[in-house]
Amino acid sequence: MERAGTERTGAEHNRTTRLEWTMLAAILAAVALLVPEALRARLWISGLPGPGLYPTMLLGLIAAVGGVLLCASFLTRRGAVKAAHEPKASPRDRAWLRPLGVGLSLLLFPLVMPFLGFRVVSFVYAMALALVLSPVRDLRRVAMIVGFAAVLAVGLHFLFARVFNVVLPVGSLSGL
Amino acid sequence: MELFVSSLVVLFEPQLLLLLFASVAVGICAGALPGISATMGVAIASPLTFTMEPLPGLLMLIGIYCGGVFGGSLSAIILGIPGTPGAVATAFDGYPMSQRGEAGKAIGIATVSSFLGGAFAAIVLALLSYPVASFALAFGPREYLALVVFALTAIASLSGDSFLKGALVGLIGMFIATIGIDETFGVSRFHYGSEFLVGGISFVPVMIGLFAIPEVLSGLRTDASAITTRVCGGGWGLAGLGPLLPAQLRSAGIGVAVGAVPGAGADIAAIVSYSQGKIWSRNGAEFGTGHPEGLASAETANNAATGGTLIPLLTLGIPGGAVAAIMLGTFMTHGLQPGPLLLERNPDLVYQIFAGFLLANIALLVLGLASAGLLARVLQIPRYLLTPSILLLCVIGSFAMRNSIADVAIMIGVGLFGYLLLQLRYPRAPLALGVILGPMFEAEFARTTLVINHWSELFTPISSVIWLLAAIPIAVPLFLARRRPRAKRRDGSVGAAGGHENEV
Repeated sequence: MERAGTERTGAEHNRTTRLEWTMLAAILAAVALLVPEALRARLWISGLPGPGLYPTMLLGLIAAVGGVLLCASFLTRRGAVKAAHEPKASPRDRAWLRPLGVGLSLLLFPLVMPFLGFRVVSFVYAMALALVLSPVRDLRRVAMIVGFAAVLAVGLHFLFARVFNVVLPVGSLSGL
Repeated sequence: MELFVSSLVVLFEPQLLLLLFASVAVGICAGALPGISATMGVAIASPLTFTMEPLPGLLMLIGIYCGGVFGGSLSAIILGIPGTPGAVATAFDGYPMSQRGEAGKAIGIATVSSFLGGAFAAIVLALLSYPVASFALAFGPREYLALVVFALTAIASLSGDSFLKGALVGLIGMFIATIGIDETFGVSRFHYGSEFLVGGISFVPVMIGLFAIPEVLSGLRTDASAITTRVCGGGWGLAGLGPLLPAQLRSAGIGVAVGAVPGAGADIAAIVSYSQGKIWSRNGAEFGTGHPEGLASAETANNAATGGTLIPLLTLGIPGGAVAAIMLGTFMTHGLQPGPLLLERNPDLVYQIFAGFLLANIALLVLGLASAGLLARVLQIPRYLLTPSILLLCVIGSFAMRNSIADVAIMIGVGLFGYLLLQLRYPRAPLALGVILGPMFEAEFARTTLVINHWSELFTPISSVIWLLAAIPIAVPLFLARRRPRAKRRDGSVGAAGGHENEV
């Protein structure tokens, strides 16, 4: 599924390495926070594996494998481009901001949907995202996007709510 | 066999055929929608069967079930969103093919493979129901544990270049599955006072977030205007099917055997089959990069498993899964009790169901091939319209399973984590495997500790064979890894090999 590796610039490589360290460190920190909760669930009950044993084993293994990967990443860091020689960030290096923004914008759904309802939020979100992504924004294109967003929001609502009996959120403020 | 053929003739009534085709079409549409599983489609349609005769009612459910399992593969291939858990392994090769502009070819291969898997299962149903059912019933905790470990070893083959990265991601998936109430003791774990977490993390939002969101987000990094999506058949025809036949036959056997084991459905069948395909195929190293054999291995097995699940229900009256349980309800509504007595008293009905299963797969073949080109054209929708559509489907699909907004938040969280994994070139598939198989592993591990006193008792004749098979996915890559440097030294070609990046 993953895309085969495209050439990475030195700065990109360094950023990726730092990102990997951050992720692995966060995983190890999460393990440290979760272990007490796993132990609270009891490891053994009457000589048999208790509800806490299996998650504790998993957390131990995650810590071990994560630790090994972190050490390995530190050791291979030697081959990476020195930070001092990093070229300035090119527009391509900042390309990650757009997907991150779109990913975070999805949080609008759990945050706003209880107040505005599925139909309103999905219409506004689809319209806004299509407008942002569209390479052309003349009046005709905008009208087409508004129509598309309306059909998509209402169509999905009809399909899931009426055909498959899924109770979609109705907004406490919008009533829709 | 005579009874089977005469049953086929009975079903060639226009009304029954129309009902079967319509049910398969409805199933395909339902399965293709993220969050609407084949089981959900069957459950929604089951009240309609109460007013119908038993045969048309059961045929309708079978049609929706077969169509639903296949439909899940369509969204996996076209959008990278597995519509059902059984379609996870389909996405590994189907989606990369689609990205290469071979969506039509991928849907065609998936359709033919699904048909072959289903047709094989129908033949097994007609000829070997009893032996397969008695094999499946010989499964106790030790055999189940071995089977789950066998499926888990697929992590090794899905890890690409680094087994450790795959193992870490797989372990995280298994841990996510421990959140909520423990099955053995009923103790709630890692809920931190949240009512939502007490109920555990559903597989659907994890699956949608893991596979769909990272692909959509990474697509945004490229210039949309520079992309021209090609939709073509790639010169694919019946001749292209020949090389896939051994993989399809192997996968059909695995699919029926795993599907017949109560509790192990299309998802486990597809994962086991994919993993075995990667080992035994000469092109195994290319699995995960959009190889037709990988797609055929997963697709044949998940549809063959649909037939397998009917075996214990019809021959012994034991529902092996949710769909079989719903069908059992339909039987009982009509005053029929599936099991050995049903075959004795109503052999015609049982064989008409077997024949109906075969016809449902023929309907699937016709509908799938007829719509492949049209479905592939979804990819020609401009990205600025396709991206919001996919994201809305992700939101509604993750919400639909439990009507929970928290599931939407889980989907987004997993999606962002999946995007991070994609950027860091960590494999994502092991996480899905961990979430699917983790609960089963824990439950069977607990049950096994109750029935054995010493580890040597872990090995029964059946479990020993499965343990042996489970060792292969781990041993083969290790063996090849040891041999490769030696061979390179011998050939003096160190550095010459390009090293095909095989990340899944």
